[in-house]
Amino acid sequence: MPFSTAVTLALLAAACAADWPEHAADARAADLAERTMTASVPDSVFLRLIVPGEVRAGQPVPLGLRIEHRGTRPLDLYLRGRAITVDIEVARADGEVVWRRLEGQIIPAILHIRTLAPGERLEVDVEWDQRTTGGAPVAPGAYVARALLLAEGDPWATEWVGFRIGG
Amino acid sequence: MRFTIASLGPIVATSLVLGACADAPNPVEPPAQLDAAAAQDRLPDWFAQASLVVLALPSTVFADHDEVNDRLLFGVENAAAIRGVRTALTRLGIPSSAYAIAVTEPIYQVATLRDRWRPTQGGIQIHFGNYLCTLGFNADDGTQRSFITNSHCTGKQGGVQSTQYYQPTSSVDGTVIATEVEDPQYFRGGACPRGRKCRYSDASRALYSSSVGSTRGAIAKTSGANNGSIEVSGTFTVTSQDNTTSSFAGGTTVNKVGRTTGWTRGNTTNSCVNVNVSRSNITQLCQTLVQDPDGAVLVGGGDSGSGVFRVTSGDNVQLVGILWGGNSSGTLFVFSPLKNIQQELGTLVATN
Repeated sequence: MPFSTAVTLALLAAACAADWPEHAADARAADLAERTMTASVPDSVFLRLIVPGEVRAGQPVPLGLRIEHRGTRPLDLYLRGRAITVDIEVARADGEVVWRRLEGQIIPAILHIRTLAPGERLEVDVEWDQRTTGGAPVAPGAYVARALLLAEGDPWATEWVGFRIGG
Repeated sequence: MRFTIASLGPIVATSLVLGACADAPNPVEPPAQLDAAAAQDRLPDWFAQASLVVLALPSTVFADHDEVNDRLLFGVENAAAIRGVRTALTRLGIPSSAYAIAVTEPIYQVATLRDRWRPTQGGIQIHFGNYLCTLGFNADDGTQRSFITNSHCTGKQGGVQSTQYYQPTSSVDGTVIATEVEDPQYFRGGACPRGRKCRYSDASRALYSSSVGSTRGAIAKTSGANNGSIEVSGTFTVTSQDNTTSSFAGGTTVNKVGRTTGWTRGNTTNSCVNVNVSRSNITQLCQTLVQDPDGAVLVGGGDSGSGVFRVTSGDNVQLVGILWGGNSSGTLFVFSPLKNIQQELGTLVATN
């Protein structure tokens, strides 16, 4: 599925819940899709971000990145950092990114070779405290999120996933 | 500077600049049409035989079964080599109407920063454990022939674990090129923020194995700054060292060569700043930040350890530090000044 289509679907899902017009969601999707350079993920590798459909206001939002190798032979991943390094972007439905996990962070420029066995799955779980990068609490409403796995070149991105923060 | 197959011998395991087969240069004699279908049928067999014989001759470049024009095509470096090729083909019973001979450019192997290099130089890939980094620069510590890379490019950041290094990887060459001998512990207290561990440089020293050659004062040079190339086209020569500066004037242009993003260049934006390392309790004190005014990517995973330098004239450079990290998008890198490195590792001589 094309990246921008995935964003559109995630935003439309959020839009349905919030009664936004569809054309507005399309425009926001295009805007979001252009923000960050990402690289193609190897065919046998499946990235997925798991987010609850709805989280109560003020509660931490669990965000789980799943990396699965569905190939039949071992696969070497070249990942940045001594440990797996994952960025998360959370955006409002109007397209404004409100939180980047690694915003302003300095990451060692070492490359980690991680060999995945056939069927092996890696899991990285983080939380978002519902605060903007600047530290302000976000308002209830619809949001989208995606994970970016830092690799040798441009990061590998999941599709955008929609979720709601309840009032 | 280019490296011929002959000059590098078996050292460089790299990509060949081919493409000659699909886009053949103009032949020196017009291609004769093969008018017999039988002759066309024999071309695969003739190619198999001729390829073995012709490419064993001096000054030959390529052999091709040119299916588009139904002929064999041979490339030679100069017209003087044509006669020998023709004689060989005649001996094989291949009619002149079945082939053409073209004078073409010799094909060079292109060495990259990720290939095997002996003697070693700065900017090339090194491997330890499950990690890849960059060999920053060669330097002598007293009489010890050494290279400098990051402290985090060792078995454990801070403290000596006798990390063994390979170049480019242990699978390509199982020779241990060097062993970690110096990597001061991170300290607490004093200038270090509460709850953190600190050092003034992310640097360690590895002592070369006696059998492995190294060139002091050489840093691999790629074709241009900020162009993404990792193909080595020459050498920077370290002719001087900045042993005294830890606060660089804003806008100072500095360069680095690393195994992932190659030669990149940017301007210092902040100097002598204390930097927390993401997702750790480590703080690097008095570091310098570098960005490109146009937002170019300057650093990527694997560039850790890259020597940072100023170009003084031509390919002569002044060593100023060692890169260790950057932001997630790669548009900013951080380096430890050479002054801080020597404060922690002792005096180093890195010039040629």
